[in-house]
Amino acid sequence: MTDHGQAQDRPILVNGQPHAPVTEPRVSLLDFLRDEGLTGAHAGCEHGVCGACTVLLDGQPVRSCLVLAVQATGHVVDTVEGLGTPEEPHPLQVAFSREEALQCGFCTPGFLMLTVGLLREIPHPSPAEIRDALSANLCRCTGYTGITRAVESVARDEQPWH
Amino acid sequence: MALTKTSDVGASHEWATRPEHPHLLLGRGNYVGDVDREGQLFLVVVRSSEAHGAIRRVDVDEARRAPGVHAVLTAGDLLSVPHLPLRTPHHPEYLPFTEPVLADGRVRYVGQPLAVVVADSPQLAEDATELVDVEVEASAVTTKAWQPAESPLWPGVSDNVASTIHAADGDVDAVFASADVVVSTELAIGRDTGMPMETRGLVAEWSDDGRLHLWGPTKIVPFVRRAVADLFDVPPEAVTCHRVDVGGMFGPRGELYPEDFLVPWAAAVVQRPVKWVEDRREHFLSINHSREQRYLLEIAATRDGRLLGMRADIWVDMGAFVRPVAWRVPEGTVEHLPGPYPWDAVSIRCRAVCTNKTPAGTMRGPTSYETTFARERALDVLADQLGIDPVEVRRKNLIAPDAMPYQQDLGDELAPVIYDSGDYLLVLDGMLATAGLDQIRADVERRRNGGELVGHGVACFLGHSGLGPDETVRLELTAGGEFRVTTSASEIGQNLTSMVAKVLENELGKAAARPQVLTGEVGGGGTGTFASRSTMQVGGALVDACRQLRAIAAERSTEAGHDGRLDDAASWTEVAPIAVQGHHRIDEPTYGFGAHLAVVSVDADTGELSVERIVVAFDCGRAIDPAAARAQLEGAAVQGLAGAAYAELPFDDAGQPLVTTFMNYLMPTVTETPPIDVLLYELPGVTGNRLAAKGVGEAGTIGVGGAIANAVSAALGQADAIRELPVKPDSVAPWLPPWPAERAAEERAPQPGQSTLSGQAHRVLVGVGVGVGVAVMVGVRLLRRRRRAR
Repeated sequence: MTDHGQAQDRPILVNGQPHAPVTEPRVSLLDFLRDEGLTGAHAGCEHGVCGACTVLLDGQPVRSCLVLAVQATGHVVDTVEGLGTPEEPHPLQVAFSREEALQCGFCTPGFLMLTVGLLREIPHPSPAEIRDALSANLCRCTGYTGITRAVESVARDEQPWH
Repeated sequence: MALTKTSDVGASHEWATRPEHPHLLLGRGNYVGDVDREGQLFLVVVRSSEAHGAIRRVDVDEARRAPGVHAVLTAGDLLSVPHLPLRTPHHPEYLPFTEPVLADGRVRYVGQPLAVVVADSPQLAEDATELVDVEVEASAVTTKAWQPAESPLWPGVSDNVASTIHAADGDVDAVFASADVVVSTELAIGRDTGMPMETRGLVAEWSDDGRLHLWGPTKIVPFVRRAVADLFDVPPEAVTCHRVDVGGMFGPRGELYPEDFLVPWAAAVVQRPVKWVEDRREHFLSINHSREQRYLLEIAATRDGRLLGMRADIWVDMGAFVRPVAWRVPEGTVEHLPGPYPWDAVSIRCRAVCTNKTPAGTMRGPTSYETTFARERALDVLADQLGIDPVEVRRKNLIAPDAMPYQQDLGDELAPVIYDSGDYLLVLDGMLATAGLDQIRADVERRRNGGELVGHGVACFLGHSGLGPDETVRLELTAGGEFRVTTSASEIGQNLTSMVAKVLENELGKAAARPQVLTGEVGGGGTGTFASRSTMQVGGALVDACRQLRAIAAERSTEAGHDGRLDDAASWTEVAPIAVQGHHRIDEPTYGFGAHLAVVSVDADTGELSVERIVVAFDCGRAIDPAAARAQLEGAAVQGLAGAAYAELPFDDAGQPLVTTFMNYLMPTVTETPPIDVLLYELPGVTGNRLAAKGVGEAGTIGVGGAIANAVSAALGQADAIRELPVKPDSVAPWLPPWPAERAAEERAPQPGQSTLSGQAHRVLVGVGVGVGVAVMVGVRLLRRRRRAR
């Protein structure tokens, strides 16, 4: 049995900011983030298939719709809101715009965080590695060509992308 | 720490190629699920788990007492249960089949709304729905539209046929009797839907002054506004539809649904804002379904491949009710079956049949996708029978440019369709040249000689667009010299905002290239965002507005003693402020020609398809934004691929939907998506709108089903092999060589010096090897799936 008392005191670190942890067991990490005003992560299916809810948990891409918020207590979460600002966008955000990697934008935060997770693990992934990683998420609008081009362009970039 | 939700990043989007990009990329979208109103409550719909039957009881007492519940509403709480209206006054024959907003006495499909629960949180509302006790006395279920009815869904309609359309032109019997050859095919298309990544949602709030505020309506905002106003007996001006970001539309989203009444009703009852966002399973059960049709199609031709006549019997599966837009499906089916070819005679009968399934509506390329599949399959069968190359049959028959505008009469029941402009053969030949048809043929032949099952297929199509009737936009030059465009059309990811900016730049110069664009604003008029009409209608209205504004500006400039030139922001500011309304009307849709080519290989052991390549060419008249046009064609092609080879919405004999999650609704990932080559043509001759444009939003999907079905049939070496979409391993199995192909070949030709085992031991070993092989394949499959789901 875990020590509930102590564990409940530890915050969830989201984009570097501490958030009070959730106590109700059935609240998903997705619901928690969205209730905190971080609505970039989206509920596409809540079955863990589409990936529109993808965020990083301790640096790993996860389906936040399948992670319970209590599981994130004391852990580190990165969402799209922490990626870039209007004045200083992340290179991935710039690349996505340039390569027509989004249309309706609903799957976009999920793809961005999925890609950040990939690039943290493999800074310069090959096209095959990129395809393999991107196959985790669904997009209905773009047909993936723009998304693939955008990620490949950042992967080729010699500049440190973070 | 709440971030602002609206697109307030306009000023700092230097780094973005489109003004509609930054807020979406930064995670600051304002989709309906992101809308929060102070004091809001949450609504969940109680849905039927039976497909057909009499409602004996809907007991909500326990649910009403559940924690956090403010209201549980049923049909009994309404004096009379309203029905969703038809989105046309011209088809009263469908009025008996419209859908009540809550099941009233009878349920007719799994998922039909029975009650709504309003509670403090979505979780508490869901908890309470499980306490609603429903008893339905089940009746026999009808699921196969083309078979005699199991049981009537509607009293007095024993065959479940809501309507029959008959189109006829010329003497089809004489034409068929005198033809050298007649091919007969029976074809079917699986049920499917647009499936945007965002599910539906609605937020409703009544203000103290009796106004209804809505967040959520997107596709046909003026109609929804009027319809909802009617349902609540308030003037349309009292209903405000606030703009939201839209996570994909594709046809089904934004139509009028029961929830468009239920949510505002609940808000009126509890006197608080009410928010409803469906989950994906509900979406599968409730969104307009589409595509499910069955054909008996006959084509008559001469010995040398000239098309003479077409006879067809079609069944359209309408589902349990005729929804607001559904009347369009049987009609469009008849209109679009003849396609880009001339016929001496046609006779097409189309029955709209009700079944105990989720009601149907339109989806991207509605009726064009289905009819193109059927017709282009039949043409390949014809080609094979005549010993003529399938491409030659198309080239020989496509309507020639000097025959434009070409009129296809359809008899007394329907207005003729008029193909306004185009050069069909040019586009087809251009597509084939870009695709490298000669090289494809050579590659396919070489691979087939090596034992592979691989083939290529082509499909030609017409995409209609610009349905009316009209659009109005407001164009302002503010006192500060800024340009502002207001339109009721919606930005759904199709880059409407960019199109507006480009038209402004084209008409008024660089100083107008960065306007403020307010989409989804109802007030000045307009019809909506559908049928790929926005460039033509909104763009056309904008051109009108720009010309008016320029005329006023030029007059003011010369009056003030300037030279009337408006080159820069300063000169515009001098003539400001100006406000004009632009208008555009289109009386007839325009038709754009396109062609798809697909290369597909089939695994000889498993029957699995590998779609290796898709090429699409389309004539869009004029591309205001070529990059956006290409993006539409690409995305649409992948959506077409889904329905052609992977995704469908089947029901079992009890009317239970078998696919309600993405786990078995197989949407292509990047892995399944082949390279898509797009060839965009801009041919002159479009007279129906000021921009001389044809809508491009749907075209990319239309020929994919036909092209892939033709390619697979070619791969199997059997012209009439594929008669159904999606093409599944089960469909190709009858034509695969004996399995496992390699081992069968080895057994037939044992090599000297190999195994010294007895025949029996050898067979046992082979059997074990095969078993292990299957187990490994299954294991790898499961592993891949799990990895994807993580």
